[in-house]
Amino acid sequence: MSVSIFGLLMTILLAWVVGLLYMGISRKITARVQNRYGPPVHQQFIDVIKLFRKKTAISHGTMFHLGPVMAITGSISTLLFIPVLTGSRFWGALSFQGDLILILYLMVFGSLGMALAVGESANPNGIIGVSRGLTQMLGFELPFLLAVITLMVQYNTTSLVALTQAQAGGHWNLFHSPLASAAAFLALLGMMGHQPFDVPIAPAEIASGPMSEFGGKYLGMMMSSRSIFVFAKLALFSDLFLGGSGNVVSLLLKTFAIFLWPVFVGLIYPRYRTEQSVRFFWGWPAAIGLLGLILVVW
Amino acid sequence: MNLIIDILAILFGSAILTPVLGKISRSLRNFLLFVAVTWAGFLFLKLYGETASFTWTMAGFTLVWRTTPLAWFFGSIPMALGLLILPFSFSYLWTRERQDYFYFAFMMTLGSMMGILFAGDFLSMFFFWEIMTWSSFLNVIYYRYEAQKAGLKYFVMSLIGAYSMLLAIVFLFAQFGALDFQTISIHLDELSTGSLLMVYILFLIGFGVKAAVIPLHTWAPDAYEVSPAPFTALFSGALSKMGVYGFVVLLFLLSGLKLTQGMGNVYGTPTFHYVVAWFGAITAFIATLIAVVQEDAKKLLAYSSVGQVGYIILGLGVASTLSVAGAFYQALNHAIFKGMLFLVVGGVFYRTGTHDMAKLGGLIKKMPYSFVVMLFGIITLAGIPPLSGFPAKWILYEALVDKHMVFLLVVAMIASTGAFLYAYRLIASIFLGPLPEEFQDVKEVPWSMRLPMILLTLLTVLFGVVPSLALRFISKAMAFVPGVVPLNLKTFWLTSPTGHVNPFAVSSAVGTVFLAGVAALALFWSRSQKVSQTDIHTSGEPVPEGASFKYATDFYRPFARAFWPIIRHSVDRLYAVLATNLENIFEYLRFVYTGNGQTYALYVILFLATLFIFAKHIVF
Repeated sequence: MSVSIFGLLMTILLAWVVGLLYMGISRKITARVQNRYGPPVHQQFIDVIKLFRKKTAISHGTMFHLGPVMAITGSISTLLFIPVLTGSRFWGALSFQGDLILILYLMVFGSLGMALAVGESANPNGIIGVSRGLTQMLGFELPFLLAVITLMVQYNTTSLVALTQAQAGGHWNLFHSPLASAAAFLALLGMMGHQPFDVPIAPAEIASGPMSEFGGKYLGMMMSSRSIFVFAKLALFSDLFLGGSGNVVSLLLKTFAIFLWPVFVGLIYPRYRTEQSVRFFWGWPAAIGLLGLILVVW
Repeated sequence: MNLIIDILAILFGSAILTPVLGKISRSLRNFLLFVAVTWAGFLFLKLYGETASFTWTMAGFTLVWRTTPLAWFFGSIPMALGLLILPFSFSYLWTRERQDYFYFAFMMTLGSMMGILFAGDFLSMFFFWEIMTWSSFLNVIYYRYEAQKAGLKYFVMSLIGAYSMLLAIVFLFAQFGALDFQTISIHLDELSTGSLLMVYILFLIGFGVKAAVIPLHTWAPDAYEVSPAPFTALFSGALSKMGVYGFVVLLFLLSGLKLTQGMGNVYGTPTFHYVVAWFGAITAFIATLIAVVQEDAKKLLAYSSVGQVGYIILGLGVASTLSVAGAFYQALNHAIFKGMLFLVVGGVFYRTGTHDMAKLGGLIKKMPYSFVVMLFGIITLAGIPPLSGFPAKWILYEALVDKHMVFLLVVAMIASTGAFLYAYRLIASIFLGPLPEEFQDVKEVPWSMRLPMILLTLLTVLFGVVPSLALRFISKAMAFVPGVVPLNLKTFWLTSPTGHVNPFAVSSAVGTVFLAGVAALALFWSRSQKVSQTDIHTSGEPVPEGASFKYATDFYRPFARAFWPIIRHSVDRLYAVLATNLENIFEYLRFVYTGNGQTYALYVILFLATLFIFAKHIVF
């Protein structure tokens, strides 16, 4: 069974475009809620293309140079193994060659690359941001893993393709596994990094944290990596809980709906400290996930 | 078989000859040691795939020495690690004192480990187990006065384990009159469930100490910290696997069916095995949490080692085909990447004289090879694809999903996420960040130290891109584990009843995208301008001369605050409190000895009176 390289490239392009578009729309929504006009929705595209067109970029060493490449490798690899459109061998062409556990571990590869680049830059704001980000990651991983394991055991499979197909005909996991969905959607707030869980970035406190030392093409690459990763996570959640999508329109609608959840929550809350966010995730979301897990194995 | 005796003779013989040769010349001794280990390794390779045994009697006991592919699998770890670590230690110790002492203990440890694996009966196994304990103790106290406490702790805990084992062995001998594995496994069902459980628990304590299972792990952080780096690599890479091999013997080679019938099953696994699996999972979780807050590189690696071996015990405890295959794979992996990490930290210590992470930093510019080796080591440790850490974890998780053992799976996966935290700390504190003044002149480690590390790195890449190579090797070993169906490997993919992964697709996807990214950055876009490390974004504030922006001490303070309820407890302190309270009780008992002759006379009269009163009830 051959893999369509063109399909892989189109998937990456779709993720990049849609991710940047969603980030632009969220900025517009935030602005309107705060009673101002806000930048145009295509602002992120303007930013990324401007960054790539800059003549020079400050570099702090080889690892700083390779770190963004590792980050975007992680994002793209994660995306390629997710079935973006169910039943399609064009979009998400490698999804039959991997499973959910592989996807969970590939998500870590990108963070490692970014963390190494930040370490090499020797900017203490960045390194503090990385340490907070990793600690918070351990926080939201617990409810997320509880939810994912509940689904894996419920359907007795670790293949994301099989999980999506099991929801065919409107049997979304959102309704059939409500506790797992609740735990996972609460974990999504941590994954997306909007308030109240934006302490790793903490714009006014540690000057954007990990991103503070990147510029030029490196920042362009990190922004692209972030947009692809956001889209990959949204597609993952759509496949796990909203039954996947058969066509691009349905994909865009579902991922945008999921995306609005962290944006709206982020508009109204201030920031948690790191240990507060970890204690939050290991509290009610984990309890809900644990209850869902117990109900499945009972 | 002759080959077994030859291998043991070479290893022990070279150990005994070391002091003599050392007096003549250091190079001669080193050269002959290397020749000896290579020769032993060559003979060991000839034993591949063979099953042979021979028995002989001594002082009324039958001893059985044998080799099976299972023993071969576990034996390849000490032989390979020993062969690679020896050149490293030649350079590491070249200018230090007491080299003969180190090599003597090193070779004795190596020889006794092979002896344990070749043993086919409990007496030989115990004999070699004890030799391994004291020879590794010798190297733990290599640095003498600083290492006293750690060495003593190690020795006492090993003794507790050894005496538990001895009790169980003596009990078995009293019941059955024989000690070889064959006889015992046949007759084990005859024991009552209670005495079977007691034997198992005693053995569990014995093997658990060496495998550093919580709560028997407290010797590991201190012992790993004070022993010299090459020996620590062998210690954590190979010695802990002897404890694991003991678990394999306990849980499978001696499987007592009565145990299952007497105590029931949990999801198809005997209850005792399930409890052992939980010990493994809790070890993995708690040791990982403690490792995150460590400030010293070797202590961090020690706790990490304890945690990763917990995964192996977890796999063995779950006792299904996939989980045992995953456990064996993780054992192989752990030996490789722990060896790599301890060797790198040893190399850094060799050049800089410290392994305190707050003092190190920025060594990537001076020691790039060590950086790459450590990078691959931590990628393998965290289980990130496409290196060899991922297939092992994948197989373990699939086994747990297959068996519906969800709580074990949650604990295991959280521990794996935590491993990523301390892995990042290790590499960032040592190699990234600003380079301190005093380390401006350090150079890379010599090639005799680099080569073993690079070879281990290549192994982890190989086993990651082509996991079926390792799995073929493992299923051959698993055929000799009774009670578990060996892994049936037909395809190149990683498959299980619940999912599949194509490792080639993973590695080619990651590799292609990475190379494409590097090429794109190099070709399509403009130059990057290199700046010094002090030239960072400071929001317009001027940076004073000599200011240090190093964020290294208390790196994970928020983590420590968040997880304080879990990590503030310490099993070490528990033992210390227990010992202090026992001492207080003994202080009171001391008052029996008054030193007054009249009191002693009173004791005698009281005792005779008691005897007289109860004379009727005492039967002689």
